[in-house]
Amino acid sequence: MVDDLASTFAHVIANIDTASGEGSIDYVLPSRKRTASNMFAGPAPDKAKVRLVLKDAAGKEIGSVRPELRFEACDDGRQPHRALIQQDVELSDDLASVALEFEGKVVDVFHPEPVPPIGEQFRNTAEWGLPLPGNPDKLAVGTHAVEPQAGVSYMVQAKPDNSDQWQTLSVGKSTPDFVIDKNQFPGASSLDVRVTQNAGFKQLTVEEKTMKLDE
Amino acid sequence: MMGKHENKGMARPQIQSLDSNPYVAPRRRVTSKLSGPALSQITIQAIEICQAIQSVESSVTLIADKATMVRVYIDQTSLAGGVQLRGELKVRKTATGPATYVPALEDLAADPQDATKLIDKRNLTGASLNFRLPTTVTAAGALLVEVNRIWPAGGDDAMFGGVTSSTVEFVYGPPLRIRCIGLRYVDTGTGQTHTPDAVHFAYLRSFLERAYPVPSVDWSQIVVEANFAAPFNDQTVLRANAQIAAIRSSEVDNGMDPRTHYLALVDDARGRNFMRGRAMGIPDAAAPDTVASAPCGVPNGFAGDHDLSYADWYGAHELGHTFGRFHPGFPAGTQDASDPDFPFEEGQLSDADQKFVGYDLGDAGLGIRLQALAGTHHHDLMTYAERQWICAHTFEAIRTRLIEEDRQFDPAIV
Repeated sequence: MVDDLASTFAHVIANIDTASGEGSIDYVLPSRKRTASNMFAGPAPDKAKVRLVLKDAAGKEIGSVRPELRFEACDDGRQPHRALIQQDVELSDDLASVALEFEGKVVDVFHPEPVPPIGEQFRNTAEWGLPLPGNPDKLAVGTHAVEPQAGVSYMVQAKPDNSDQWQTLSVGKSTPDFVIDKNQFPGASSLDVRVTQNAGFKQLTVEEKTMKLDE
Repeated sequence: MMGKHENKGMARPQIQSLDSNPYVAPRRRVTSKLSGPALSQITIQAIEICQAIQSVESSVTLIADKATMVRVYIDQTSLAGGVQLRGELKVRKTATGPATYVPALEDLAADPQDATKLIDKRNLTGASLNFRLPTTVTAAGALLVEVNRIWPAGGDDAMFGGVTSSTVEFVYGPPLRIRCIGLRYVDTGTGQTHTPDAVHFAYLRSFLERAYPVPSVDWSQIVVEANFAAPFNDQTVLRANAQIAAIRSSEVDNGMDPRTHYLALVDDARGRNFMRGRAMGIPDAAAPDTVASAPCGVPNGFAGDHDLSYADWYGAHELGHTFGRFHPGFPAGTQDASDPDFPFEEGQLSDADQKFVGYDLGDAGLGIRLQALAGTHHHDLMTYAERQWICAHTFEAIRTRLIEEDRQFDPAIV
């Protein structure tokens, strides 16, 4: 099963050190709704000149956001200078890359490459619930056959049969191979497992299956 | 917050023996006289309705459906001799409504030689008749609490006077919604994998239920592989928080209640891999997507803690930041004083007037007993000081923020 989940936003998680100017874009997660609350709350965007710059395929700026900087607490009483960015960015057809910019200088760029479909390769090679040698509570899910690719990450989520909530077990992994610890789902007898590819600004369900936990 | 293996931040504990703690002194025993002496009228000094922190006037907001205790203080000098006193409350929503009768948790070993002042009695749970209110009577609204009976063990009811009733108001409070994520990591130096023990999750959950201004904790937990390895460095906590933020985003996108706060626990590998905790932000308005990470392990006296886990108060501190709580600035020099409104000297639960006493109503499942926490001997959980609990200032502020968070998403949640 390959399912294109229509995404409206990308949730950009990045970090920036406003003292050194260093930082990185850590995760870009396509989503169907806003998952950050900074459109409602938090201090006004700071004056540190941090921007997320949205660009098209030609490198032309098509938009920008001044993200809320969430400075770390418990920083020895010094002026906090390291911040996390949790910013929802609205997607458009033209969007090709996101740059993290500090005082006009590009710190990091998320620029996904075109992605070939992996559905068939995944289905042909993936394990679904094979116990790890010597550790029967840990189950292998996915495949090592898929090569890492820039701008592509994988996520595995699970929903036990005694809950309605999908739980994220791994996010931002460069290859779709995972280990699921069935002890994390007390009282469940089966588990819906979903492997998702975050490819650029699109989210694709690579495969979704139900695994028995009491076998 | 500061780790025990670093030379900055939170002060390392000056371990105090339990014997030197004036509030953990052995309980005084009074010989029980089954028939008891003839009792003259008993004078009740005060009735205090308490949850996590309270003044004798019950001035701190009472949260509906939260564990609640009533303390009845008796002037023991009016008694003719030592006696085991028992008591019963009558509680009801209105003066004419149906009543619930509540027995005292245990006898009061009363001694006419005991001239302990009320202010000091409040620091000793054994110095009052204590009653645990059933949840059926702590719904939002008024509650009339009356002393119905007092009698010596094996004797007849005694006459009593003084403060015999108190009316209080319970107010609605939203639950605390927590997703606690244990991050399992590999120590590349030893090859060992470290996962938070179950006790750390249990202690944190219990502490939040006992101390935070909430009726309950909507709790879920899971352990996942960390996107980092040991040995740790200054970037580790940032990576932990970024991972938690990513998990949160994906789960909220898939239906998780957006009011849920996400907190990571990272095991300290018996002190070898201590990751100093951090919240990523101290929002000045409701922002439940503010994430935090905390270390966990066995305290061995860390911050005056001698139980099985320090994940409880440490996690509660980091979560406090996510509810907009700043540092009071104590101990001086170890912490920024970014909360200019913090009202109590030295970061304590109370000033020297001992107006406020902390109450830990305990957790039988974890063997945590009922305790009164002297306000001048314990410190607010937003400090780096020893013996942490929640003060009235933090209690009320987190309560207010929880309500703001609840309302923020009201339209979207049916």
